[in-house]
Amino acid sequence: MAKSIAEINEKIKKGEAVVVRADEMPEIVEEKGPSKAAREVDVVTTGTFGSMCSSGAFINFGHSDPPIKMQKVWLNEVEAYGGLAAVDCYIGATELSQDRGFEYGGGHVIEDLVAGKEVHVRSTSYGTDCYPTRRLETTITLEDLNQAYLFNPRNAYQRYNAAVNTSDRRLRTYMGTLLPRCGNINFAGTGGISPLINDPSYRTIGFGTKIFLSGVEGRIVGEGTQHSPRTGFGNIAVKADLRGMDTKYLKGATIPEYGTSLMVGLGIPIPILDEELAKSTAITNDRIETNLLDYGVARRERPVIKKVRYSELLSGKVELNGACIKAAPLSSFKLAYDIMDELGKWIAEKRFFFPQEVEPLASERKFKPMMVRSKVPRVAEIMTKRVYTASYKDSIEKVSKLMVGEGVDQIPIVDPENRVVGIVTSLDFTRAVALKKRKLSDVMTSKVVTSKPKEPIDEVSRRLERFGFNSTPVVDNDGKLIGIITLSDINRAYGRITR
Amino acid sequence: MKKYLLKYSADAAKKPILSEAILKTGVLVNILTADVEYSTEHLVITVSGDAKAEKKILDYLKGGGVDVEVLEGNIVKDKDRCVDCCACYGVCPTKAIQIKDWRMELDGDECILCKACVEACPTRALKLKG
Repeated sequence: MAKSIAEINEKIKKGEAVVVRADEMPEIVEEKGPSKAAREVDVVTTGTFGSMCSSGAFINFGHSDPPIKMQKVWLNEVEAYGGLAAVDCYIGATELSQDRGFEYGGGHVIEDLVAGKEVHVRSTSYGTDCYPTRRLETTITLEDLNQAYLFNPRNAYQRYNAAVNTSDRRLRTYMGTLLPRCGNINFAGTGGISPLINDPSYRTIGFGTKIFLSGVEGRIVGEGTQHSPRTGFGNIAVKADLRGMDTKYLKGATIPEYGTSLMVGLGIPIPILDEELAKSTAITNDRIETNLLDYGVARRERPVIKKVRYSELLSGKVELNGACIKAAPLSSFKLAYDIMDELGKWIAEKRFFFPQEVEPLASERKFKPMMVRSKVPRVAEIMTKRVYTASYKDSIEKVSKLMVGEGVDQIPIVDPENRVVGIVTSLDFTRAVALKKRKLSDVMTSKVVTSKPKEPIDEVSRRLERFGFNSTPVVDNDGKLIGIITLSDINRAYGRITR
Repeated sequence: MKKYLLKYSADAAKKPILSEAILKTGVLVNILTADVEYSTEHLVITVSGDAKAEKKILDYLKGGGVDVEVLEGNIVKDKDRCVDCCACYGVCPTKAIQIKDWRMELDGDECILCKACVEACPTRALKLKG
């Protein structure tokens, strides 16, 4: 027996609709069976709350007198995109402020607007016959604006990866702080209560679906960017008016040493039209699997460490190689529950009705990678292959003569098998003179930062910056020296790319 | 077990006071965190042994110009900023942060002032006291 949207709306109007939360549905279906559950339950509410970087707001300021074509726009010193018409702009959540860096960005500007705070506006332009003003500074509040709406191109992933770090260095990523040597696991998404996973074939979710967005009623305006339903990574583009939003469900976020973002609260009520929807909304966390990825590898395809279920992640502890590792959600389950309850209240107070028709999201869509045609060079392409080396038994005099003779600033020290055991630089020799050292082994650095021939040079340049070195020997998989790469090699290569 | 915050003055930081205190009193300490610079020092320690041993070594340290404070309720959260995302939970090296009923719960007495949570918090809801 199937129910129609009109019947469910009629029940809402009469105050008779039965609304349950997504976390309550598994038990109901278990107890009554899907057919009876579908008859008795009319709506299942879902929710999620977390950092959603692909978020931002469109704003229209209205015209000043004399008018300005706002070409460059800053809101509280966060640049907004002004390349549309004269007084429209788009402020993106991840744009950093020019004065406070990671501590304040586009997401914080949006939160401040919703909180009713004054926001400083600065704009510059080239001036035209119709828009003569070239510079403008003022303050605005949300009330002063004509339109201001959240327009998020990619929100509410069906599920997301979990992150761990096998490297020996603490990482700051978009998945938060990852401690070295698998010290912690971060994951995102709210598992069985998250919106899209409760209707994975998008029977009721599509263009036009009404949703809860940060405290107000919003709409889905299409599939999200990178929508990838077949791999379980479907997502949606959403829109809602900033007016009326609640900062409880909308917060500017700092992801340490990564950037800024916007924490968004999003919920979708799902009309239970038939048995199939009763079944899909009965999804439990032990049936949702995701990949635990190694973020210690900064490449597009990160290695899968293992498959984990949300039930395991949600227990707060995940077993990995015999050790128990703390797992943190990054999404707020507390607020996701509040959102589901809020939706229940909207329906009970007859403030929410389902739209008659929605246009379903694409259920077949592949997420393609970017092909980079101007290739970033690999180490092997730009390294110097002819390397002058020395043995640690050599005298300081001999090695310093070699340096002067060949005009190099550093000499790798190798063992008889050509494996790198140290490096010595001109600075080390200065130190030798200052401290009256005689032996090469007393002044050389034995903790050497090496690189591999296939690494992109961007990675090597970050590594050199981190350790404050000017060069790194290049070694093969056996640790044998095959070349050397210096900062000036890298600079020359970057020069070629920009040209 | 009580945790103590030792604050060294510029003069005290130049002497090996903690080593002296341990050798002279025979009381062992465990250093939980150390923030050491040329002219200032902050250590968080616990002391092995009974109250008497504790008093003995702490008195010695005080005599050497070290400021000794008991650490309690070291970390505070701004309830309006905290969204219970629990990003702090995973990076905390002690039991100061737990998740209970999907809420982040703080036990300030367990905190050792390492600041890992303060840095990891996306909404900047956590602060060290004082």
